[in-house]
Amino acid sequence: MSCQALAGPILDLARGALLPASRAEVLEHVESCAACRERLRAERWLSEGLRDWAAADADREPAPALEARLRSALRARHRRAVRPRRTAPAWAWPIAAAAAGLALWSAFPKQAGRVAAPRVEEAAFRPLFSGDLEDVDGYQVVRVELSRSALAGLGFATGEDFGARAVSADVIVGQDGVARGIRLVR
Amino acid sequence: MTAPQAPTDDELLRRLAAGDEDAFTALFRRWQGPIFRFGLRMSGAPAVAEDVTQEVFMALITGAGRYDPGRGSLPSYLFGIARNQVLRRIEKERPYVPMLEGEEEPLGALGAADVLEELERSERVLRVREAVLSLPPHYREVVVLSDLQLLSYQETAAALGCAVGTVRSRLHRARALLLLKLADPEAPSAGAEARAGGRP
Repeated sequence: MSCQALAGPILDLARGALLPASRAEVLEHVESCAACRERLRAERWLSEGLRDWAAADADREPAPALEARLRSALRARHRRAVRPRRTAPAWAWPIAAAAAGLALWSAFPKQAGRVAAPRVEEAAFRPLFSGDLEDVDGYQVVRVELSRSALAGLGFATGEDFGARAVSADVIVGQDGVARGIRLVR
Repeated sequence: MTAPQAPTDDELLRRLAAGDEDAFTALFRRWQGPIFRFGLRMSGAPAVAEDVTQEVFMALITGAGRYDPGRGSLPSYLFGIARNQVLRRIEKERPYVPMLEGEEEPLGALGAADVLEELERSERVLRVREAVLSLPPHYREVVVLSDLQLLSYQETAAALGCAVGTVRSRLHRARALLLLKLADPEAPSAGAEARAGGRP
């Protein structure tokens, strides 16, 4: 076998990974070839250095606090996953979708010349479903503009005093993307 | 009476997917050390190694179901995630400064010959570590996984997402580069041979 063909087996021999069946053949060649003998010696020296390094830091581990942090993250994730979800009434889904679309629309600059009406925020949010809004875990408040018909669907009186074509509102959106509560901004 | 067998990785993963905290703890304690040391040996920085360990186990928490046993063992999967995290940080934080201080073992009450031997050993470890940390990442990772983490060629290939033949050839080349960098008085001809292109 040529020296070049033995380069791989010599590396495996130095790393202690050579199959016993090939060992005798490689050793026989190394005995009679000074270059391969030197190569084996160098590879063994390097393997020893790597082994010593591995042994020197074999006990190193992350700080104990990491385990606690990760366990806490797992608990939080699982708690969210098993939390019973409220069932939204059928009429609420189009409203939620409309609210999301309007939120996107409202992010763009409005037409020049439009006169902004003075805005007064209602003190409290009205829940969109039965249940207490304080139960909502992790939420975002999104300001949207709703049409009068959407407001009527939500149970708001939309008489002539509304005047404008759309009304601003703050919507509480839960982590599941469902709108939970609303307050008008006039 | 036989001792109860420790649950397998696959079994623990199934339980973890259902939110079993004990299963997560068992997996974490089983694999945190190897993953942390992989990060440490790849980056030379304990802070990076800790970040990488956290990311690997967060990935397990959020996607335990994503692991496919048919594509390799759990350690290969975890080392694969760790490798991506390390490479991202190496890329972002280059040039990094390997942190090598404070890791030397005390010499203790050794004889003169032992002390000399210990010093030589420590010096070699330092030099080898510096040489490995200076390798390009694609060579460094095969040395760390195969020669330090002692993964088989197959496991290393699964972690890196490449063929076994690629692992072998990269390891060969990486070690030739290491010998060249080290060019130690104890291994003079090895360095000379590598310089002369005598290594594949």
